[in-house]
Amino acid sequence: MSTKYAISLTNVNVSYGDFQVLSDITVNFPSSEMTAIIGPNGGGKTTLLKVITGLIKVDTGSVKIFGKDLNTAREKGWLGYVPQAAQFDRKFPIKVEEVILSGTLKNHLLPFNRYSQQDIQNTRDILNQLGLLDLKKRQIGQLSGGQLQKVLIGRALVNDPKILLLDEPTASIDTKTKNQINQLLHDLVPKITILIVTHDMAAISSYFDTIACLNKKIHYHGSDQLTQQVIDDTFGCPVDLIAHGVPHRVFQEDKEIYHD
Amino acid sequence: MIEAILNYQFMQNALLIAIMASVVCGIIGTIVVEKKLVMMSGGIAHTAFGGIGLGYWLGFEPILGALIFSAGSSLLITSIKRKTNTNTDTMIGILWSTGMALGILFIYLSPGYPPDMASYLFGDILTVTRFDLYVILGLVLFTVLVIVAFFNRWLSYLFDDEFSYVIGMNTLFMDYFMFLLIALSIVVLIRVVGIILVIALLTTPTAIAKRFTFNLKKLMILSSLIGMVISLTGLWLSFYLNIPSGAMIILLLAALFFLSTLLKKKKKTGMNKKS
Repeated sequence: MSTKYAISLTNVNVSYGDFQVLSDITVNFPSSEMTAIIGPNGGGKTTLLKVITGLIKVDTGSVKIFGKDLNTAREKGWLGYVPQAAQFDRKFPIKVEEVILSGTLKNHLLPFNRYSQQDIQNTRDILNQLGLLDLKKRQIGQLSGGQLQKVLIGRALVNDPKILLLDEPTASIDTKTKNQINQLLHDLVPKITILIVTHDMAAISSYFDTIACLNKKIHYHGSDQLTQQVIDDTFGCPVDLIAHGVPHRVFQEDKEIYHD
Repeated sequence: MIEAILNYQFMQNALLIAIMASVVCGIIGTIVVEKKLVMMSGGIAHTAFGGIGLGYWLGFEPILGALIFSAGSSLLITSIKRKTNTNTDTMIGILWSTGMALGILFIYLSPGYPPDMASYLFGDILTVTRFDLYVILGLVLFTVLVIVAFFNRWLSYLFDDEFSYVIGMNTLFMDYFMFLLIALSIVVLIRVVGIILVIALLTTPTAIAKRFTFNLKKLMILSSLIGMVISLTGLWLSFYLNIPSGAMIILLLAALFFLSTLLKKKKKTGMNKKS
């Protein structure tokens, strides 16, 4: 794990039938950084995360995690994944504690795999860290959107991953919880490399080290100047960033046009 | 009825198979309901008809034919689903009718008088043979063992198979294995209620149990107990009223489902009034 890039994609192409979702993506995400992936709906953001987790196979190209292939990364437990909360069946009979404990399953390869005291302790620590200890016996259907999101983050963190991949973790939740989640994730860096698909433009300048603009291809990836032109190109239309409550640094062709 | 159980082998067989089928219903039914595979299970059940027909045509045990066709179709569905963009509903429709068509064809080709297929279509627990009983006992023991032994894995996989894959679980194997278990269970249940009614027996006990618990383990146990009580009651009533046992069991389950819905609604209304 000595390579400086946590995630490297080289000439990655993905299509659904005739529809190309990712086109010749070559990008390296450095380790110990928190990166936001922004872009329009249908631009391939979720697909990119699923390619990195191995859930979607690439048509051509390669994905490396700390210089190793995906299977090695999965087997070594380097990846933590937080899918969109909206995809879950909230009526599924499972408790908060059980959801987080399931993140430790990698440690149990034998039958009758009861959780160890260490797993139970780690789960309690995570619940405590997320402020969810009182809710550990609750069914997931009894949680708010923000609470469920925290539970899913806890499940991804409990086994100490090296990389955390999150798909819109702050979608449809209030500003206070949104800030709590962003801060919580921000505090995990540099121990963990974080990649987040987000539409929360307002949070970008406050919490993220790097931004990747994706719309089938990478329009921008960096940590310096996110210009209005890049944003407009990515979304395929003019985007009024200031009206979105963003960001305290906006550049127009290398010239800073807004600073709060 | 107790006298009949003591005196007649077929009654003992029926009793044993009702108990074993209820255990399968409780465990696999919970998986089917929670994973939303009800129609898929119906498709697999109807494909089994082809295997029963093949058994009659080639002269081997029809239940083994059902087992081969159910298992084969479940593996085929999983494989096609993973490798192509074919809609699951479409696949179910194709397999459902193809299985039935093959069954009809094989029975037509069978030498001699056509066999009575009613017991396979509508179930007849009283015609269960000792051979059926041993096959079913093996299937039940296998099902219980693999679910109990890997319960935490099943819980994680059923809740979120994508996350389970990312943390290193072999979800491809789990997919195939789950469908295989569903296929095996369907074979057990065909002898009790028949191909046509198998979906009801697989889903209704769990649907009733879901009104009373929100814990996967308890859901499996409670579904099994509900299945057991209703199957034995249905068997008892069908014995005295001289009516088909499979239909009686399903009707009792449906009645209990609606009763539990009403009770739950009444309880909820009462709680709202209090608050």
